[in-house]
Amino acid sequence: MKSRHTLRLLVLAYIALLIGAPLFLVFQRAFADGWSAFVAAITTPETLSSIRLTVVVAFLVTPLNLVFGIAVSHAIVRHPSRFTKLMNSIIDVPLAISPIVIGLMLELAYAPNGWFGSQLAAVGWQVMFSWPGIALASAVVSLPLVVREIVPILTELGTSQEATAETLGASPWQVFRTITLPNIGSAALYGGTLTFARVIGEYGAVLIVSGNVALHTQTLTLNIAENFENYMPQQGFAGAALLAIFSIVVMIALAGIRRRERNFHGH
Amino acid sequence: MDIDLQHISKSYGGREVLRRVTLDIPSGKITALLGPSGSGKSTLLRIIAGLEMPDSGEVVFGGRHITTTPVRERNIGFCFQDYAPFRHMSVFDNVAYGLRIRKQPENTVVTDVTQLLSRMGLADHANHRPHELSGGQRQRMSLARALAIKPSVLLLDEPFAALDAQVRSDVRQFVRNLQHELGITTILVTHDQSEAMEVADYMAVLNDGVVQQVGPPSYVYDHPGNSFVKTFLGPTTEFQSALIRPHQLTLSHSGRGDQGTITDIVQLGFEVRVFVAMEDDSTLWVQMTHDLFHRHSYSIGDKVGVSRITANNLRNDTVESATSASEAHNVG
Repeated sequence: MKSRHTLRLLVLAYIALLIGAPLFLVFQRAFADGWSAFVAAITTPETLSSIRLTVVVAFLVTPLNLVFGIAVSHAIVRHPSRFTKLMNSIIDVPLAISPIVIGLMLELAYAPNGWFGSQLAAVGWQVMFSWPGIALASAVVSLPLVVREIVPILTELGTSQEATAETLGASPWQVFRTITLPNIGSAALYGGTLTFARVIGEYGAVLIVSGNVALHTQTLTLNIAENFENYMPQQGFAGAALLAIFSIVVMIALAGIRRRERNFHGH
Repeated sequence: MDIDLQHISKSYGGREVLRRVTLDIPSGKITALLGPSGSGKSTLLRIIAGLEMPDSGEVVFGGRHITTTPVRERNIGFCFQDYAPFRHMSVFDNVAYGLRIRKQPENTVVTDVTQLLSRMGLADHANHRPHELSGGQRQRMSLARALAIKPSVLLLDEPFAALDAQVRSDVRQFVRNLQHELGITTILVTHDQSEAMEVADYMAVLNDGVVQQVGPPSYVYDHPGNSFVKTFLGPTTEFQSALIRPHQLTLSHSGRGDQGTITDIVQLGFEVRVFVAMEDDSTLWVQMTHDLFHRHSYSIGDKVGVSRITANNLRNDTVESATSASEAHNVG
């Protein structure tokens, strides 16, 4: 009993040291001059614009990766082939590669003098150093998150429910909508939430592809970093606190989805 | 509706699972596809359902070739071994699924489903989720769901395998009664010979992708066409270099028959198995009723004579044991 208490204390101390205290300090600094100073810091035109861009990109990328992730998971589990096996391994690459490298890869490909970039520039599309590039980089770094949540659930689900629906007269689309989707819904929601959080918090890849121009191509994380570089720590801490609040909301949402999932299966 | 399977072959990665299987399945009866695992019986069922395509051969439903007809247009009821409950739906919605897919008006759906649920003894569970049901109830739900669409064929894949032993026999009887009441052509796959004998009107024994024998269970049991069918359908023992059912042998303390010594006795309630080492160094066992065993008070080490039950010694005290032992066998 005693040793268990000691262990718990150790764990708590570790977490406090690593996360709790630093997080507290961020909030302390952000609100050091009071609520109104905090609000003023996050409502400068630059910061507001960066928040708007970040949210727009997140709302653009999340549904995209959700649809893509569900389709890819379905292919990997239900129609296994050499191609889907290859896809299954490739999909994890963004987790293994540093976001900076991903940013550089994309820049080489999509910059106006790059591989696809020159073609796209010819038809008047500038991907790099504008919002499509930011969305692209965000989509790539968060690519595996939905797939990794859905694949195990889909595997565990098996095919007998889907086949039963088929014998009862359901078309492939009806089977997907009435049987498959409700069963993977929670996993998709979970993966989608993780994707959203990842996109909001992404820094490295976006730094390379965005051009980081305040009021235009600067996301919230870039804005925070710039404020520190420009000796405006107060502004920086306010932005950081905002991101931290967002993360806490995400964590609560994830816990809620997990609970929903447990109720759904009745255990 | 009768089902005709014509020269069905199927291979997976070079392994032949079914080899030119030809089988007539009678209308309105329960037919068991019986065989050990890997015999191809489940694949055959999935081919009948349309969940698998045969490499060659034809599936004919009541004279209509449906080999290439998609599953959803075959109007079949299929129950998986795990019952495949739609776990995100209530019991009612599970059973209503096929009717709603068919765009039946909701008041017909409610009437039909309510009626089916009460027939299946699930009326009180309409609003429950499948995970709140027992194994037997879940199976009845999957039956109700399959029957709701008034299928022309009911296909059951190992329907009793996932049930506890006590529930199993009740459920077998329930399925048999239900089928007799509805008269729907039913095919069930099983590896359990006693299940096939108890439930089916007709059976096809499969091994290694080939149909070994077809016929009514009691006929196939009594007249096995080959040694595989004989050993698969019930216990056998070797007497005078021939495979024979252990209940077809009788013991006596007199010198009648081949001589041997009792080496072991296993008592299984109603049934008693007596193991005998014969003088020619072969061993065999004899199955008899508990009653007969005690009347003769056999014990280990006794010198006994072993002989085949014939019309002659049937007239003696063995008459009771021979008939009741074979009944015991049919019940499993």
